[in-house]
Amino acid sequence: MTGRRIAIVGAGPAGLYALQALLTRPEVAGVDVFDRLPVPYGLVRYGVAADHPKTRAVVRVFHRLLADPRVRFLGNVTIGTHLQRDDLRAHYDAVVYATGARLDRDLGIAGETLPGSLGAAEFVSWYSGHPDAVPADALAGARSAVVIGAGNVALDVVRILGKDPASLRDTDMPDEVLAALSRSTLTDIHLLARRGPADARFSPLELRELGDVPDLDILVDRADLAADRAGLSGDAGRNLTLLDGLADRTPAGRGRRIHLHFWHRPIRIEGDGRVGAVVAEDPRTGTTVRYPADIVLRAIGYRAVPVPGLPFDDDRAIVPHTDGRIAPGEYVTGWLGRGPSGVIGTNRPDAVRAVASLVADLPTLPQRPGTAPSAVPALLAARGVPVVDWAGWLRIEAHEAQLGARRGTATVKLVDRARMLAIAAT
Amino acid sequence: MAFVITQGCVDIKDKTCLTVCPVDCIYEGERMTYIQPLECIDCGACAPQCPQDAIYYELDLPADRQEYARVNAEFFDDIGSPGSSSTVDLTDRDHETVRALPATPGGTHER
Repeated sequence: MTGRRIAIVGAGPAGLYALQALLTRPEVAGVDVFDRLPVPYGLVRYGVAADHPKTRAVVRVFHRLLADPRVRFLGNVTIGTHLQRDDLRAHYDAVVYATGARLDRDLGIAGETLPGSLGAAEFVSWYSGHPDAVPADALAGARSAVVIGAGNVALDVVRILGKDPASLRDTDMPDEVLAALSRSTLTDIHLLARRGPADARFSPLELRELGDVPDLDILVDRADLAADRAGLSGDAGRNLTLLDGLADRTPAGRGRRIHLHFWHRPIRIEGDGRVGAVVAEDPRTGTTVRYPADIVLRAIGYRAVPVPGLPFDDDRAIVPHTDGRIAPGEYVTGWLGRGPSGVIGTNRPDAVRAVASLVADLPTLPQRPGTAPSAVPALLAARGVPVVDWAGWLRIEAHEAQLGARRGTATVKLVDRARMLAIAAT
Repeated sequence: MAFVITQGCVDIKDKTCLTVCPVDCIYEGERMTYIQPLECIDCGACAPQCPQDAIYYELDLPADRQEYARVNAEFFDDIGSPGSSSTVDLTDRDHETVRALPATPGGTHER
């Protein structure tokens, strides 16, 4: 039997850990990795905050995998638009879907759709230089921001909004993002957490990092921290200790303040034509409080987008599966299969499990007839899709390094998709 | 700064942490596993997986486990940064502090 050819849809951590697992298998002769963007790495590039370069270092693992001679990167290809599920089934012995969860979950409260109310995914995409991101005009002239959520994404958003943009010049943030942050007139940033500090999903590392940002006053109401501390798990206990430390600080009268509010359940967003305030309720007492808000950012979790042709559980926003198997020949891993939880490394055991299911099925899966490796690129060319291959990505990467050298940093992201495609094609 | 594996791992080596480390920076020694601090990306995937609760961020190390930041780092003194634990076998060695420890009751080192 000749070697098998596999397709992976999505070049983020979920897909690339599936690639890692597949490349250990002797029966796998080739793997094509598709992404709807011209560039690889998914949320490592467009989710991990620019000021977290250490976490981004995981790219060196992913780079090695994609550079393997058995692997092809096919960027700028959208499944459901440029290629259909049936195309993949016709040309590959098996397909692994790893498209993640790129939409924001809704709060389900009044005023959520007012202009000036954004999802964190939208906002993070913007400051990460995502080509499809909408410029965050909502920031212009804003004095007060409300960030809703109690996880690391909420902390990322608060930190990026709070930081002196000059301290972000040595990151890969696009110039236009730095310029917009430099024009920020924000004085107060309120984080609203629905429940108490013991339930917060912050990692202590991120909370500590927020406390270490220079030139920021961080205000925590000590009364919010009155929690039962016995039996708290490691991270919750550490978070409380860190919050105690923040509550003990005397505000220095700085120009920008971060307010961390616990037991604040948002019940409506008010505004006349655009957001103006957020009303929150203390779930323990029912008392309400109102914070002015020129911009509202909801960081309460992500939601997967269905893949055209694949089953989808709308309530859970996942593709249903058993051990990563959607059906023989089709597999799912990462957030599309388990929902938006965990850190980068969580995707690894998930991918190993999906690939184990795939490998177990391989002997019974029909070998696709007449599918030369050149067939899919030829099909895409016939459909007029400008595919970015690995060499194309390396050209984009080199260009970004040049932009970085100009600003005195390692690399600066390109944002415009047309420019990316032009550079990839040179 | 990096995550650090401490004494709770000695003679247990559950190794679930190795399966979630995104960069393969956790290396198996003879009696415990060690994190190569120059390779760790601070993602925190490992710590909640440890059934022994033996993994801490360096700044969160308990008072009586402070020395393990040095123990993890010095384990790599001879070999530097191998780049990935999948490429080397270090199961014949331990840091001297760990070698000197008595066998953990119920652990693999009991004869």
